[in-house]
Amino acid sequence: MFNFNDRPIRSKLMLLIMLSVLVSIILLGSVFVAYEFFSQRHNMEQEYGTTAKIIADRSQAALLFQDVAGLEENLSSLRVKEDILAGCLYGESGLLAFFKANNAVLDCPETVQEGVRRFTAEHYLHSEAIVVDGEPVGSLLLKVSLERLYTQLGFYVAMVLLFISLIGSLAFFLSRYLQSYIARPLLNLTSTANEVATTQNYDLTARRESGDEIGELVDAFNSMLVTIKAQNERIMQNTAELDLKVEEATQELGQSNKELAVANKELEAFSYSVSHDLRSPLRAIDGFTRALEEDYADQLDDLASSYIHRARKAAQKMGELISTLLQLSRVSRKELEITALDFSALASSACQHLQDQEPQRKVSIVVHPEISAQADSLLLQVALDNLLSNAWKYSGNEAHATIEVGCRDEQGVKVFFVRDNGAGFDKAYAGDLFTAFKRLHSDDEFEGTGIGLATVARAVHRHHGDIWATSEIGQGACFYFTLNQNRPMDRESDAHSLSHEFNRA
Amino acid sequence: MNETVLLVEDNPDDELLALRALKKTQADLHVVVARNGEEAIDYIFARGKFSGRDKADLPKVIFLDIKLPKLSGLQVLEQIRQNTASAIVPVVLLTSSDEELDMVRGYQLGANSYVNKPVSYDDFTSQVALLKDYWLRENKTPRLAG
Repeated sequence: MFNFNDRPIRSKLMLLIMLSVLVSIILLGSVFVAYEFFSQRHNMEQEYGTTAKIIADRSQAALLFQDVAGLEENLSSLRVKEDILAGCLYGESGLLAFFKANNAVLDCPETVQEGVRRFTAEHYLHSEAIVVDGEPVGSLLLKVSLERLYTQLGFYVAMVLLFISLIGSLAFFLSRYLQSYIARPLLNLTSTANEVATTQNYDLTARRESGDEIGELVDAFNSMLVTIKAQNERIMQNTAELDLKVEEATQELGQSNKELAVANKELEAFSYSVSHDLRSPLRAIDGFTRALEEDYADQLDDLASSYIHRARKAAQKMGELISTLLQLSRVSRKELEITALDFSALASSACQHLQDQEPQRKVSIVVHPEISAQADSLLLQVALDNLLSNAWKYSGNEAHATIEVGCRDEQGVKVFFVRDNGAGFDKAYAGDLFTAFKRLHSDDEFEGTGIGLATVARAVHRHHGDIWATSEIGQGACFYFTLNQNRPMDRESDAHSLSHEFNRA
Repeated sequence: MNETVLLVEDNPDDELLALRALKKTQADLHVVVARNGEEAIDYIFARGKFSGRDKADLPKVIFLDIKLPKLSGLQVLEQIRQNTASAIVPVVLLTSSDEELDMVRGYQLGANSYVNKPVSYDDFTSQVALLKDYWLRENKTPRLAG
């Protein structure tokens, strides 16, 4: 199907010009022909009206005297008018005389009406009353051929058609020539744009051929090309720089990874060595002092015994320190194996273990059921063991010690917590809470190595989680942590809870 | 019958303390001490300074430290298990190490038990008593090995 929208602009322009020119000429020609037609008819009415009047006037006397020969002679002067086919003259009694042109068939009707001016397809009929002293005494009917009118009209139509074809052709050639002024710049622009699109060569420019909107379009197009080219160059440059940086970073990363691997290996060797070698001297110290106690009990006074006791106690402490340090190191270097864990079960079994070690203590333990966690089993266990043994230890002086383990949802983030109603800690020193070897209590109050919470923090951070705590001296403490999620920032911001929170460690 | 315990221990302090703990449970217990891996192998296969020994007289149990000079405890274990005769002798890895890796390797190489030596001597004494009772009294091994 013919789709105007998809035609090339050249055809569109041609089509528009030709259409408007042709429609104009045809309209003009039609108006001209119609005007001629009606004006010719009007002329005929005038002309034959006059003729009929003259004949009618001249026939008055002959009609009065019923002089048929006179009437016919009178009518015969109609001969000079070639278009008149017939003339019929009627008296009061009917047709009296007639005229007919050569080759014409006479067909005068019996009677005639007054004042007929009628055009049929082939004839013009005109009747004129013959009046004497204001009295109608007869009438004259003229029948005129329209042949001449049609011939003339035909000539006009031919002329108009000739003009139409002449002007049409002229318009065709003119528009064909002129349309290129509009279409060519557009075609140029299009071909340049196509070339740019296919070759990606932004050095090309479109030629400006006119000062009109197309010229402006060409200018805009060219400046766009310049911009694109500049942007491309910038992008290329940036990409090159970026590539270089990435390469450098990759190399650095590779180097760091190597260094890290070496450091890890060293740490591993160190831990291994610590694990094996640091304990046996301790065992020797403890063993031989014990041997002293056993074998030389009778030679030792109370002071000597208490020194020995202190020496053994120190060895024990050192042993604990080594164990916790090794735990910290293990938590740091263990490869993570994240699985779905039953958090509640892990917490419960850790609590049970604590209770088994000190069966005499009465602690009310609440572990919220059905808490799950995505974590490394060993690391989560170490974290829970440490947090719970802390809670257990620091609630040791409470008459009604309570430990609560649970998890709450804060803006879609799972926040695990371990809460106790024990000694709590001084918030002024909360910054040291998760730092290794920093302790907020002396051994006289609560014994400890100062590594437990550092280990918990390490375990949590290795899961890309956060850890923090709230407390008040004598009011207990609550430790919160997240796993694989950041701490919810926009927390319930009541002043109380905010002022006692610290240390995202 | 005279049952032998082979104690492989390089640290003289640990050796002394272990012996003290063992003798405390049974004063006439026959304990052979090897100070390193090579010595342990020589004893088991009756070689080197133990070449005059009756090869068929295998220890009832071997308490084997892991960290040893020359041959490590795990290498000694590997050799013990490769020999048909000694393959059935119970080996208890008695070590300070609580490294997961040592445990895994130890059991993979055929250790019968893995025991951590505690720092506290009292705990160590009761542990040794327990081990001796179990491996020398309760545990049964074929009379004729190999």
